[in-house]
Amino acid sequence: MTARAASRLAWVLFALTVLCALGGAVLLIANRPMGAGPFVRDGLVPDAVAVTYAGSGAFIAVQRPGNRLAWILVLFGLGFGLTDLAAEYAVRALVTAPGSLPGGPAAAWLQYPFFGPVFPLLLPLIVVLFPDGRLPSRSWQPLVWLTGIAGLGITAAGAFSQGPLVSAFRQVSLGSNPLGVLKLTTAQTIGLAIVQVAVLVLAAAATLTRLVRSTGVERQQLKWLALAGAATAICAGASFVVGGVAGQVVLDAMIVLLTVGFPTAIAVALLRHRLFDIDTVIHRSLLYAALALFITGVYVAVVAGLGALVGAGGQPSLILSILATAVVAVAFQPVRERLQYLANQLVYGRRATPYEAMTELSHRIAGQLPADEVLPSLAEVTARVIGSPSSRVRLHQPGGQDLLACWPPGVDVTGPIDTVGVVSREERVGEISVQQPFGEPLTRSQRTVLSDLAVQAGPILSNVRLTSELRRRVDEISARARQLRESRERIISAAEAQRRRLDEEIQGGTQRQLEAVAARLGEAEELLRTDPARGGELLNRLADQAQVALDELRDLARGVFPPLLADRGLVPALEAHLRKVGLPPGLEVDAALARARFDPDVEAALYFCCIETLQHAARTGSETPSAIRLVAAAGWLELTVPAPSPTGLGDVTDRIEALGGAVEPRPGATLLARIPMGAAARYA
Amino acid sequence: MVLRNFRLTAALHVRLDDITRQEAELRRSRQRTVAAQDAERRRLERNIHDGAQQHLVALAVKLRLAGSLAHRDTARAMTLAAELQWETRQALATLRELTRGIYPPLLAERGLGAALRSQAATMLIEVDVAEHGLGRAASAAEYAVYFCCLEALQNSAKHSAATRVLVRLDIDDHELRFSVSDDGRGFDPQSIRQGSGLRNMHDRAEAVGGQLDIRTARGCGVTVQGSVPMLAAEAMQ
Repeated sequence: MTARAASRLAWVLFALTVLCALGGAVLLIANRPMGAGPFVRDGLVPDAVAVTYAGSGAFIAVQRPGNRLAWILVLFGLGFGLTDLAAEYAVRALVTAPGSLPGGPAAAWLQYPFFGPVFPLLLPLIVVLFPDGRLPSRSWQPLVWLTGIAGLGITAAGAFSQGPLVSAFRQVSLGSNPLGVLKLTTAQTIGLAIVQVAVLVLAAAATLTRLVRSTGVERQQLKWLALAGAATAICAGASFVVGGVAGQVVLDAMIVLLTVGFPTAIAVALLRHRLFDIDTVIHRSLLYAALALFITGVYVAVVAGLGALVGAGGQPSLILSILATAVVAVAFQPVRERLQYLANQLVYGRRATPYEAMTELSHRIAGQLPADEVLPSLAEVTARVIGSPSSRVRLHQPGGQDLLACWPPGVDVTGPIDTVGVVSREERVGEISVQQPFGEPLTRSQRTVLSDLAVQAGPILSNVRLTSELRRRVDEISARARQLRESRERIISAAEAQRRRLDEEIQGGTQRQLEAVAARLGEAEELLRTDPARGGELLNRLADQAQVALDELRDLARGVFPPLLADRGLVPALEAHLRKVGLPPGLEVDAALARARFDPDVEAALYFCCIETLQHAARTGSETPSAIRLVAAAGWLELTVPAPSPTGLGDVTDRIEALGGAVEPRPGATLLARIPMGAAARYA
Repeated sequence: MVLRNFRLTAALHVRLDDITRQEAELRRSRQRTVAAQDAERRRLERNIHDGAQQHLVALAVKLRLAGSLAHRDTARAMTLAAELQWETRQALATLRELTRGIYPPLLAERGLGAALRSQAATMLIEVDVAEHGLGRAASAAEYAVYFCCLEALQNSAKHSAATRVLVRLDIDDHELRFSVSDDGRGFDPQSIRQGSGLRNMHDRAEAVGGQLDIRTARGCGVTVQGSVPMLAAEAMQ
């Protein structure tokens, strides 16, 4: 059934009920001379019940077509309407104007099928299905079957038992049951009544368990029903105790509660309109009742109690009345405050109003700053306060991914949701969304609460954002510091390794050559004595060897730090190196840079970057076809070196980065090392 | 609530400032390290150039000369050859000294105590190295401590007018501790801008996760002490 068809059906049933009630009322007025009880109470109240229940049922059904409770309320009202119409019709046809209308006995009998199910069947169902139209749990399913059987059984037993027929609400005698075939004993009648009461008690027990387990919205809904029920029960109890005019007032109050109070409470609870005001209502009721009790108590105590003591003899004393009034006047304010406090404690527990609860919860949230604590709390508060089954909070992070938190945790909130933006200092910092059950859109008051919540969430989210931004930056800089530390370690250990290597090279090369020379010098001296020619030859060979040792040492020294680099700068040093190693790549330099001088650190870093990259390429046996380029571009000094395999050049990178520069592989198997001109400090 | 938030945010700000300062200091330290290394390389190159290289040049020239004189003036050649033997030994000694400065072989072979004693022997002041059964640490840690102690010793020798320097070395499961104290005139820590030598010591110690502390006052000598963790030093290897 579509929502549209459902609402149409609901309104049709309501219209039918109204017609029945109108018909019943018209006939009632026509039948006026007849009937036992008071005219209005017994005659018009059923019509009022029919209209209010069917009306509130239809109203709920239109908004919550899925809720079975709405339809049962409609049927409840319709049952009253049909019964009253049938009853008054039968009274008219059989008693007040016999023969004026056809089918009098049929109408009289139809009261049974119309009214039979209303109390034994529909009432327990209303109680057990409240508030969501579902049973509290599956284990209550047998109660529904029992209710159905009992309701139909009681209806059938009434419809087919022998005996006199009376009009339903006014007890006008309508002859005997034409279809009376059963003869029920008194015990059987009592048994049926017991079953009916038992079913109602069981339904009430089901609702009680629901109340015990309920939280949030459901609890508030149940409170509305409980309020109506409690008020009715108090009136019913009072009607037994109080007599006279007061008793009549109590009864009238009970009737108003039954006709208007219950359907209104049910409609408010189901439609969640000002749902959370229930606590306020209960609170006020308790407060005023207690105050009334206090005033009554003071008067009774002072006027009757003191009166008896001073021997006023049962006569009301003006002085005592004045005294009582004075006592009340003096004590009223402190007593009211005390009672208010007690009522607060009783009704709200630790929270005073939904808004104060929201405030308190946001205080709780404000104590926590990390996003992973605040966002879930906020989502939870939202769901609880709005009464939605699930909610989601989203935090926009500047330049980062949005952070999301859903409630209940782990639920993926997707699909149709209601969202309000959270704004702080005119900037949208996030949003709060709730997801309602299908067919239950947010009511206006829920929307109001949601936007109030969003306003409160503004500073909270903006704070979270600030904090997480700060944290992110702390993490970022910590990571950078760690990298720096590692880089510094690498630089130091690279230098250490280099010294070790240099040491080995000197020992293995120059030193060994020189030791060989030293070892043979004595021999040369001997030879000179005996054979100067061979001695001279040996000396020449040793001179060659010394020259080799010298050349090696020069190379090593140049590798340590080329004198040209210090004396004449980067470009001449690079040119000399390339000339020396005879590598194919040429050197392309901006004319302006050819003789330029830079900070010694920068010159050394770029020089060794170039040399080590070339050496690395040579070691890995790669061709280095492209030229080396040194250019000044947009504030950077850029060196492009052919680097067929840019891996394993960490030392180079560390050194360049230490000067605020960067090293990055470029297309065409080259490496681009650049250092900001500021750091390069050209001083040519 | 506002106050509390303010406090928390302020705390975070402080931490951010702290860590930013740390990061900047690290950046400067890395730059100083590189600059110090470059200076070291230049110094080393000059060392080689002015020392061993000059010896070798002279040797080669003399050898060539002796070779060419062998026929014409054998006696002169023989004199030269005799001189050359002595000069070659001198050149070799220079080379060995050079390599000892580049990377102390004793440090790798026999540890910190021996390496520092051998360096101390070349100095003009009296140096006691106090260490008993000092264990070995990772080479990065040992080298850092060696560098710091040597730098401190050289400072004492150059600036303090000290007569004695005491080097203490101590090792346990957690860290390698060192202290170098002299009996010189000290300096006012406020008045002296931290020179590159002192900063390099700090950088070297911190680079292996250690710390360094310089205590001095006018007339009270200087004590440089520090420690390098064993674990971090090993983790680096």
